[in-house]
Amino acid sequence: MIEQFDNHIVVIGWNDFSRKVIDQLVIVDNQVAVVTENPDATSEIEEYFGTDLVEAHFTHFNSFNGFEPVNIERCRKVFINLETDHRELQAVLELQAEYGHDLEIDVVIENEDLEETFRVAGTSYTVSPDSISSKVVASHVFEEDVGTLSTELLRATEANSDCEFQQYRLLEGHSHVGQTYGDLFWRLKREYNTILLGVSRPQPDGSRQLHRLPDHDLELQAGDYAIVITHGEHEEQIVNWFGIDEGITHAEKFDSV
Amino acid sequence: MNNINRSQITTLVLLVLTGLVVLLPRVESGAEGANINHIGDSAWYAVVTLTTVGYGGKAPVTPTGKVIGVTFVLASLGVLGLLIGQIGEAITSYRERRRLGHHGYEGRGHIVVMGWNRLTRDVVHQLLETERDLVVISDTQSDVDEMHETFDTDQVFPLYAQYNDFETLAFGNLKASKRIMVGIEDDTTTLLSMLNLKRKLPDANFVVDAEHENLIQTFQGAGVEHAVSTDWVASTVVAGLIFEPDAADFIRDLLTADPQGSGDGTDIQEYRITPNHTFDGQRYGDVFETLVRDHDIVPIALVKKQDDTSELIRLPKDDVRLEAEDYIIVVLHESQEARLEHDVFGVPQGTLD
Repeated sequence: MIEQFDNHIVVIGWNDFSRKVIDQLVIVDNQVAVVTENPDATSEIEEYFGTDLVEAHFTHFNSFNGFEPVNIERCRKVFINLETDHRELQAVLELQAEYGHDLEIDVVIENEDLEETFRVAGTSYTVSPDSISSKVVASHVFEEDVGTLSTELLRATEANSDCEFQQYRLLEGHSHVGQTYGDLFWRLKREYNTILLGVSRPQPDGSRQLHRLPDHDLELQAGDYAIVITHGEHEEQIVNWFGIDEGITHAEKFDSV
Repeated sequence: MNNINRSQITTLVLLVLTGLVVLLPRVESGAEGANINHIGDSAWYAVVTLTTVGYGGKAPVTPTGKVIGVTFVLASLGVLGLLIGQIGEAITSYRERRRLGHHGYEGRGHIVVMGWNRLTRDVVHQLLETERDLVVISDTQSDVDEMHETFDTDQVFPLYAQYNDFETLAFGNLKASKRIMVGIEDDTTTLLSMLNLKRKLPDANFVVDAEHENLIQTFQGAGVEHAVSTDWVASTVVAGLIFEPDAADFIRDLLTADPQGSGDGTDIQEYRITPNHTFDGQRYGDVFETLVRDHDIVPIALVKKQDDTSELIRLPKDDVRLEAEDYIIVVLHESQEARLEHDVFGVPQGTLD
């Protein structure tokens, strides 16, 4: 039941884009509560997905409160996808006023010039489709193999030969806690042909700082996330080695750091 | 007054004046004190009068000749204005044709971008970094005006053309281009334009941005080498940001250009291994160590190019041998970009050369 969803994703706004996002979330078994102001869409959503992982809720978007029926206070993330950037900004501000600034909100915007505005308003991530796609397109024009590889890296691994970006948490007691980034880099390369590209480190305020291609003498800490590129065929070995599945842990949001 | 009428009137006026120039010496010839005795005199008198110079050296003396003279005087009011107007129009028309790109682009090996919108604007800004010449085509004149204001026309050649008008599109010298990127907002228009272009330019290399992911295979079937769905790319990043936010944020950083050139971000680039380069013939594992330890960049893939085919090897095994004309794909800090071209690979990034 949608009101019992926990650590789920709340998607506000239903359209073709939302559908594509949810398609990918469902692949990795995320629960998703879809909130729509179109009463006919609720049955369409539940029929389309046909799984208990996705449920829909109808409400008016005159103001962005009254989301208790989708248990928004226990969700992991809110993804807002409305018709205009203006409405989305309104949604961000009202949701935070109603449910607190701990609510993690991602939003898709049309005008990339507003990215900073949304960041200041408190979104976790703001995505401009044109800004991202333009790089992929430009890559296909003048660096076609980079374009091909970039497109692949964006896909979830479907076949063992695919290459994928993943992140793994360094658990307390892992052999590489206290070691350097360089040690981990060469270990992963030599034993699993997996490339370490960065580390994401939890901060006292609950956020995470991403270190891209850091110095090899960076000391690793428990709770750090290793960002890697690996072949799908090595995924099982990597999971066993880290001792945890890829991604942020389901308990991450409500645990202390 | 439309152009056809203006042209006809101009012709008529010129014919009448020419007739009067021929008639005048016949009328004046033999009269006492006459100084317009042949066509040369008459033509000189006509020019001096019509241009309002009026030297006074030649003038009709007979009544009929004076009537003709009055006609020239009255005509001078209009002829000069007409001529100046025509010249002005020709200059304006010439400048307008140049502004719209209809004088034609003569370069070769350039990149063509069809469509002017938020996405293609971003793509053009990124392609400018490659220092390739660009021809950018729009079917809206105000877009062309914007391009002239925004870009240095030494590198960007704006062209106003309808997407299915091959005659005007030819001003962009599409046949000699290296790649054609089609980013028209409507998928149907894009597909129709593609099919027409592919018929005329069967050897051209196309990259297409499609709104709907389900048309990607259609475009590929139509002969497009690379078709990208904006919605699919963005939705995948969004889903990634929810599930694996740091990995997705990293990819987003790799995929997002740094137009301000702050050098703070990371990038993914590819470089050709030239013949006799130190990497030519080396094991991938050795090259990997050299690039990581000595240059702080991280290789992630290799591309072996043979004739018209290429093989993308993701995370190659260490014992793969690099050969001349292979491409190596690396991840690096943007601040190192310039150094790589000059100090490491000796060639600019990319596959267009």
